[in-house]
Amino acid sequence: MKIDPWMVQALAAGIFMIGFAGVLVRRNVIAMLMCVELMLNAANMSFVAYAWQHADMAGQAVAVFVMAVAAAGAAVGLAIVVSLFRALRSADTGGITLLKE
Amino acid sequence: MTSLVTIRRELLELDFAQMRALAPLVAVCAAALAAALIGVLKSRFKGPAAALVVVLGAVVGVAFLASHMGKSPVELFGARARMDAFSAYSGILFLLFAVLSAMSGYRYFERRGIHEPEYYSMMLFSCCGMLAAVMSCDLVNLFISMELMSLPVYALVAVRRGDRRGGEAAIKYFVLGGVGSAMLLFGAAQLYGASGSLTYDGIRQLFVSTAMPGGTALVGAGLVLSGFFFKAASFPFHMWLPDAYEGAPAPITGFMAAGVKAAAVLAMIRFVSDSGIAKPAPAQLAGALRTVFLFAAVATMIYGNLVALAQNNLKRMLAYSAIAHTGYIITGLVPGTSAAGRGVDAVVFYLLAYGLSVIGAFAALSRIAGKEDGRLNLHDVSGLASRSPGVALALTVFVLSLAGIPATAGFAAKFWLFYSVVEARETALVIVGVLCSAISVYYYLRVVVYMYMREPVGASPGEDGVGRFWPGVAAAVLVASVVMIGILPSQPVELARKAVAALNRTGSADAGQ
Amino acid sequence: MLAMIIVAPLAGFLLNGLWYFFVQSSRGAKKAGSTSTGLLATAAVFLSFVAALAGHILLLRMPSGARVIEQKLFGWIHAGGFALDFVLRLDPLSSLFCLVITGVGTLIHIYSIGYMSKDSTPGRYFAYLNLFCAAMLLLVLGASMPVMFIGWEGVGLCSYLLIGYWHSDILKAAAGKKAFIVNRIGDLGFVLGMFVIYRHIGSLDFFAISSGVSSAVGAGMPVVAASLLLFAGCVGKSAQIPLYVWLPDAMAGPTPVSALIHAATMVTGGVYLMARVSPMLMLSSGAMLVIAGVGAATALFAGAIAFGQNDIKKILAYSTISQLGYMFLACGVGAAGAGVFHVITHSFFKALLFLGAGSVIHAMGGEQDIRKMGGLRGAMPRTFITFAAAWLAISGIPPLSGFFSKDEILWRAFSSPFGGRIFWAAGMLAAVMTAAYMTRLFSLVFLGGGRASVRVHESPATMTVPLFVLGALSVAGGFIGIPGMSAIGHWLEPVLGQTQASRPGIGHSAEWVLLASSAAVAAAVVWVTLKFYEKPARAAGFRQKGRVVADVLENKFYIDELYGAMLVRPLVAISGWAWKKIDDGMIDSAVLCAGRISIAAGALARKLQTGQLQAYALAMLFGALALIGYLVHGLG
Repeated sequence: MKIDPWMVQALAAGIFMIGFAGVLVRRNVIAMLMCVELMLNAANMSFVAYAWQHADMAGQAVAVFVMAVAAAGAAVGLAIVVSLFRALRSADTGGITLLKE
Repeated sequence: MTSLVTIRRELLELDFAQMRALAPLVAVCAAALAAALIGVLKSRFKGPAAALVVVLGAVVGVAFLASHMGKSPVELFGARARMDAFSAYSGILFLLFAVLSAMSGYRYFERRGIHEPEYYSMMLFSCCGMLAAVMSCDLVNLFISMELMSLPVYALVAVRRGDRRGGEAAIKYFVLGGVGSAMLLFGAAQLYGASGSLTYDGIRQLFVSTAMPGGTALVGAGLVLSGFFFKAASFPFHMWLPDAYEGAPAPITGFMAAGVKAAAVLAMIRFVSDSGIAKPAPAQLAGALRTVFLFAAVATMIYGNLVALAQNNLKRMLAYSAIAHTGYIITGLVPGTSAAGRGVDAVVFYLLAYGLSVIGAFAALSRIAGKEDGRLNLHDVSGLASRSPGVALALTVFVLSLAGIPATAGFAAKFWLFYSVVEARETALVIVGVLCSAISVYYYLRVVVYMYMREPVGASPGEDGVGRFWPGVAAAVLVASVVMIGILPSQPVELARKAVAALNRTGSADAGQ
Repeated sequence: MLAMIIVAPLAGFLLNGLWYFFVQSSRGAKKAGSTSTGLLATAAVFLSFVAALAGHILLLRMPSGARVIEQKLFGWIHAGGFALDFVLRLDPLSSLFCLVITGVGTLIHIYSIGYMSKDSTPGRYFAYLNLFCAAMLLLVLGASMPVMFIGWEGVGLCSYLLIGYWHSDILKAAAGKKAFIVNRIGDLGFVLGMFVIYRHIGSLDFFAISSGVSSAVGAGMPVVAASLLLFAGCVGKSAQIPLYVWLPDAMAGPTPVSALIHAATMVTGGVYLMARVSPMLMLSSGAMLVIAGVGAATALFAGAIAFGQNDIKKILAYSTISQLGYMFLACGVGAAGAGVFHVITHSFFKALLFLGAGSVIHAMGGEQDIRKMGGLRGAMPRTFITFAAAWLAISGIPPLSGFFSKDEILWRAFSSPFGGRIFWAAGMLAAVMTAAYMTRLFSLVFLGGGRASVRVHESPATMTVPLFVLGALSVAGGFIGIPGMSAIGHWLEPVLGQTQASRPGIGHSAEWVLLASSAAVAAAVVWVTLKFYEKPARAAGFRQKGRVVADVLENKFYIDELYGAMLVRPLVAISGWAWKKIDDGMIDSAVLCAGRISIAAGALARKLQTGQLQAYALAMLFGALALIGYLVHGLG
């Protein structure tokens, strides 16, 4: 079966939405971080597919950059998680509602 | 797959002008790195030393940027980044905010015994990202710069280890920020797909012809705009802001309120005007865009002001007021999307005035805050005027500026903004804006009433002499500049005008700017 | 340099004011006496006088047609097509007024040092007095109507402050309020007149008005309207019928204030205005008729009331109103120059009269009823001599100043094309009354047997020296306007226009006939009245026989009561109703309601922020979908 760029696009869109849904649904904060990463990678996939479609290297280069940035982001995020939950001793985001209204 | 593409020379070779254009970024980055390295040393003076390095770096950066205000634009990396008067003005703004926040936070960190070099270093890295974001003329540059701007800020929000509120604020900000960035990136991908180019100029061809661009392009544009709206905290993407502002340490909040918002708005202005989305050729799209901005402006203004009325915690009140000010800012951008872009210079000036006022307000709050920024409720500032008359006076000036009372920078900015909007015939918008401003006066003046007309309650804010000098200097500079700009606004407004004029450059495929 | 004329007293006001505010109002501080504050104030006004004199000399040296010195202080209003700069202008008319204001002002300041020596807050008094001088000078030096208006309002303010100076006495405070409010009614006319002038002539600068009105407009409705409206302002400021009621009450203030403000300067501001716009006024004979008529009627009416008064200051007040009527009569018959001449001489002798009265009141320990005085000639010789000079001057006895100026007005009233015999007759009758009641005053106070119950003594030198200076001026000041050689007329010609030629049929000799007759009449009336009051008992009997008329006169024709019932009480009632029903009931509750709704909405809206991270993310999702959806829906 021949894979066309639009199929990859559709997949990317699907993964993006799954990731978003994950952020909405999952209670564990690490899982939320993973879903955000999913969304970023969906965008990556989209870039690469378009690069394929337009026969342009730029899109592929973008993917590499984005991966690096996403990694940095993940590092920061995990550091924050560790810092906070050392005190709370739980990774449940449902419980952290000190700040509201 | 295509064949290997030869590396284009312009991406690798820099002539002198381009190197000078990059100099501010380099200087700022180097200073930030140096400050971070100072953190490795084992010395009592790490904190002050890092602060000094950061200020020096900022000063050098401002010097370079100021030299660019008058010159013609410099294109970098094949039109993927540009240093023009707009970038220069924005960069000066960011560095100014950074220095003032650093100065006002100096004592705050020292008093709590957590005076670390990393804070200053991260503030400066964030500035780096802000400047890069405004210089960007390319989607990828934009994304990376925005991340560079945001990641240090997430870390700064969480900087007080063990503080639950801070940690919660940081988590919320980080997760939602990640979602926002992902939306921006995905949208960028769609725009790339629809146009085949990553640069703003390349995207422009999508919106230049009178035929509506395809669904992909519209989805992309919509997602990118959502990403910007998120960072600028427009309704309904604003929900991270109150928690993030309340949980972060007060000086950091000031920096966020001034710098991050300004960066988001300025980068959005650059994006929207360079990529042709601001004035798209198809009238239907222009109309839709105008409605989007209109709705965002009105909803944000009303929501921010109404909820601020109900707040007792000063930090949270200022957070909602920040949302309200975003509403005013977007109001100024509405004409830019349909008529002759008049509102944009008013918005650019507004960011300056608002930034100074809000950093000042948070500086005053950080002076009187208790442990973990407690004791910042309204009744905690009762009678502040008798206990700390200087702080009370400074806070009064800043709050009046935020409210838009005449003789302050905030009034000049609001006046200019509403005037531009009326000239562009969006009178209904101005009426809403003025009504909302009127509502806002209540919660701003309430602070003044409590400070001057109530009896003091509880213990006095800490009077130890540690590090009071720099915050005092920063506060004095801020009060003076807020009042001066309020009385004689013509010079800063001229600068803003020059900056925006550089945006509307001639040549290269413009569509009736 | 022109600015110095105004800046000097303004600086005096600020210095005295700040001194008072910071030092004297705090408890336990050593109070500054009237000498130090008074000297500061006097120095300020004297400096102003020197500057005015210098300006006058400069003008003298200039050729007659080009006597103007201008100074632009700053660009004031530039809004759209309307541009107005803050310009001061010294020309023959304004320089005369400046000299009078600063000269007589200086003398009154010196007098006040003695008069207010026992007052508890002299700093405040002198500060206000200086501010008044600054405002009055601004009024006459203003080159355009708005600048003049600032001074106009300023003198109204100072009048209020000074009349109600002893504000702890509620009656005195009420007098100040009355002055201000009645003045305000006239000011409305001034402002409306300004609007009409701007609309039809296009400029508010006086020189432009004078030239523009002759060429462009002609004598149409706008000129009449503007003239009458401006005159309405004068009716308020210069106490003519029907807005004169504040001036008698204004006697509640310190006597030097009455001398300066309500005799010599502020009330003459209206005459100044009429003189300034006389080129415009003369285009409308209807307006001129009204002005002359009101002036003549006021002169008669006030003169009559003066007969029935027993308070020395009230008599002088009504006399002032009457003399002001004279000045407007002059303006109304096209002889504004004569009006100005009378302003000058009147300022000399009226100020002298008031200061003398102040000296008497001071000596009598506060008593003001002339029926309780008498024979003060022996106890207060210096006051007596100077008061006598002023009395003779106002009665029109030659060769004192009052004779020449009054005669000039009467001659012009008779001979000018705008005038007529009836105006002359009215003026003559008013002159007769003036001579009569002033002689009554003089003889009851200074002559005859003493009825005073307190021991009286002469006033100190600070009070008597100014009296002598003014006395000398009252005697000799008329020579600037001798008929046939009228120096003052020529001096004012460039500003006021050519003096009107006489009506046909009136020869030159008529002037000398009238001159001689008015001198004779004046002398006769004075002599008769002196004789009449030699026996006070006879006077009392006479009053008893005509007591109905006498009561009406004493009660000022019940005008105040009439105004009260017709105007004041209904207005107050309407205000009260509007306050309770409309302001409190409707507007305030609407505003409060809006406020409460906003706060309630805010309390509701804040619940949106649940604190749940996922709720926030959901909101973002909705926002993004809505945004994209809206952009895309047009495609379909």
